[in-house]
Amino acid sequence: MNFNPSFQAQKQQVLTLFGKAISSAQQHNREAIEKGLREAKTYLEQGQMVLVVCGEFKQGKSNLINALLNEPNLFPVDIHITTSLVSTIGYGETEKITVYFENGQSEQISREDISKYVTEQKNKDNQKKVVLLTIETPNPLLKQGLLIADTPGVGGLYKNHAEVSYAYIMNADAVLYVSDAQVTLSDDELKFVKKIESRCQNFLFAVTKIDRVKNYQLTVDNNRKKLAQVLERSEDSLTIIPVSSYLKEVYLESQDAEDLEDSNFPILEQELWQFLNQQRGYILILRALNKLAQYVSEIKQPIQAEWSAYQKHTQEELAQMQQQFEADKQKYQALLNDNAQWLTLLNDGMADIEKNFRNQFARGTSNIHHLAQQLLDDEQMLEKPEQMGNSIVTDINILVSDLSQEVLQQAEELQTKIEIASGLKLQQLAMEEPSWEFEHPDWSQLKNHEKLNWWDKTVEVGRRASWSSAGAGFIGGIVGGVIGGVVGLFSGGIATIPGAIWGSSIGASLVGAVSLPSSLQKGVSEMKQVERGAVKKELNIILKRYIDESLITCRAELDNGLTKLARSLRDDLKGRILEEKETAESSLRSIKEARKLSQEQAAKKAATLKAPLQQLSQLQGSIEQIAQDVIKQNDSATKEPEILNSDMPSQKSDEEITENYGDFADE
Amino acid sequence: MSRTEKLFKEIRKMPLFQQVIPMEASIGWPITIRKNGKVYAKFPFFGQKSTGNGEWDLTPPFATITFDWSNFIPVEYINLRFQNPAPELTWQGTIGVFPHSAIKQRMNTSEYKQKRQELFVMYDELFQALATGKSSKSKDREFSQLFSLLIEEPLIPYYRVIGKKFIDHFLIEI
Repeated sequence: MNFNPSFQAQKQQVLTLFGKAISSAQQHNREAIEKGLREAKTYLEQGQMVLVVCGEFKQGKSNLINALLNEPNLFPVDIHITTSLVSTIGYGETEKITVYFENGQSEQISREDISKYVTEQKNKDNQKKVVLLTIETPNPLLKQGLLIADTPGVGGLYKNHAEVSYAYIMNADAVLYVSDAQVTLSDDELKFVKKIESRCQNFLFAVTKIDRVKNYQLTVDNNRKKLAQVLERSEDSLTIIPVSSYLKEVYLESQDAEDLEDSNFPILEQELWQFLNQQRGYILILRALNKLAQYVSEIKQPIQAEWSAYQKHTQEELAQMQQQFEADKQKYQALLNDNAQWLTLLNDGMADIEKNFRNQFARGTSNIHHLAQQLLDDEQMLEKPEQMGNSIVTDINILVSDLSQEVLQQAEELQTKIEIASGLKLQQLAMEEPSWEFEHPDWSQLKNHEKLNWWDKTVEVGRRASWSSAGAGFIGGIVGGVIGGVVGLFSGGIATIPGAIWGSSIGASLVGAVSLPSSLQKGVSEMKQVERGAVKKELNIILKRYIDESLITCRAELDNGLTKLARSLRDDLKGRILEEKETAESSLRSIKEARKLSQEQAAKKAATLKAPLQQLSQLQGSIEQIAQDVIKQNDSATKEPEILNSDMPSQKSDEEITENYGDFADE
Repeated sequence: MSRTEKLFKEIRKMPLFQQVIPMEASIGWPITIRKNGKVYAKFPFFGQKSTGNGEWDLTPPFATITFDWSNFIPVEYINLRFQNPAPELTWQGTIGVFPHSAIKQRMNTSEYKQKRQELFVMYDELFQALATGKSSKSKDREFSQLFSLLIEEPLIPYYRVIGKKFIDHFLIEI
């Protein structure tokens, strides 16, 4: 898999800028800012893009992953082997393979032992009670932050792992659905795709084993038609890539470019990175730039204030400046008071969120009971009561996932609202435009309310990044009760952002709750022998009880999560206010010092500030440039193609074309 | 971002700028030059100072730097106070204010910035036209109108000194 030069290069550029900003913070003794910068840098370094590979069992998923990573021996791929649980693979300085069990224990194993845990053949019915396998490997292709999740076949989802698979899928940055070139997509597969496509928009399809099929294009075309119909999308909008993992493996041996080309893996890699960059990569980088810009402004402001004070201002003007900063300081102090307006907004906002949540949960509960009844009325389902259980589990997980997303979205909106109302957002905008950097000055009436497009974009996207990591935190949290360390993998080590706290809080208890206990499964299968009417009656009782108990547990956890979310939001906002207050106080100190100096002393001092200010300005310029490049790149990548209408009148021909134009410029 | 705007921003990062131009100086609109088939942009630099009531005092341009349009490399620096190209003009002290009446009466900050962006794009087209030798009268008209609106009125006499043919070609009554 090739590096995506664009994302990697941009990420490196931004990390370099972080290094400079951190040095600057250290130089100017801004410890809190230095800490914030380091956290934001870590988030970018560790921020991951999650690619979930799914599809029916025996379609070649593991083989494909091995081929993508140029590691033919990573996942076991013998034709007799089926993967039975979710495995993830991400970057680590040294190789480390860990198995996590239902009881919360974990064990490090070697590569050779992987098959003993992940395959149906060597771990029948998951007797070893494994929930997850994680692989960290120093594979340079993963260093860019890609995390690949290999899920068991959809049709063969092991009973207790359905929720883990779906949790990954629903929070993936991209889903790669794999099918075999020897057969077109089945109805079951199409149903599965339809179910999850609404939750993860970034869907790619790979058709594998093309080396075994002469006219694999027929399968590709057929799949395209079926998917277009089921997903109600145009055929052109679907990305379906035929590949051969076998030929990629051959290439790894032969290094013959023709083998690589025939494998078609370069095309798959290109499409994958495009998908990932357009979503997660874009968000990661813009979030980082947003934080960087914010902190660099905060370093610069007091220095800028001091420099301004040293210019030939009258005592009256200096007094005015001092008054302004005093007012800012008082403003932030007021925001820290217990009866501050933003706290009321937060409390009221959270109360609204909780109310919406309760209503939606009640509606969701009713739907699930309704669906359960539909399943009971389905004669085919009665033949396979185990599948009934799986379906219920999936539906409950979808409800929890949807509610989580809804809560997070509302919380994100609430945070934005509070920041604007408290003036935090505007203050950021004001700090972006030091006066001498304008080619022309700005006049007074609109100064603090002008919006820089790129800054706004980074704020918008940066906030989305914080909240989208909640999804990732949710994944980590789903298994978090069992796998404490996994949460860190997803949230870049920054487990304090509100979304991540919500995610890990919610997920921790759901593994046990939202899966059919094995006793129930056994009970259901035993009932196959009993008369159909009685089966239905018994199933109804069992399912109802099961659904009610599961939902009670889910509700309790979600309520708990809401409490923690509110607390985390409050702490996050308070932290921001404290930072702003410190910056205002620092600026005030600078002004007061400046007023004590004579003109000559002031001029000398001003000269010493020129270099650091220029450095910071250059840094800001670089940040802005990268942000604009990233935004522009993303905009052109996601732009709708123009529709050329041949019926439109052609552009009016310009009768005034001047040849030999430009004598006014000639020297 | 247009190429012209990009150059605007790049100038401040250049070592030459940092050596000879005060940090607080403003950058004026470029004069286009064509020499031996190559196209250049000549930028004037002038001073500005806040009056404290939403206006800015302007001082005359004190330097120009000319850049090769194709690669943004500076090819000429002129210290106007040293050269003194027009002794009849005042080259020091306040000569007027910004914003001038044409801007004050017609637009707010946001609209002004929008117009600046538009003019940057038109500059790109102008440079391109000079490189190819082909343009149209309608494009010239559009450029004239916007350029004449945005050019800093007190600085016009100085622009005439720096780029007479350019000003004579494009400046119109607004």
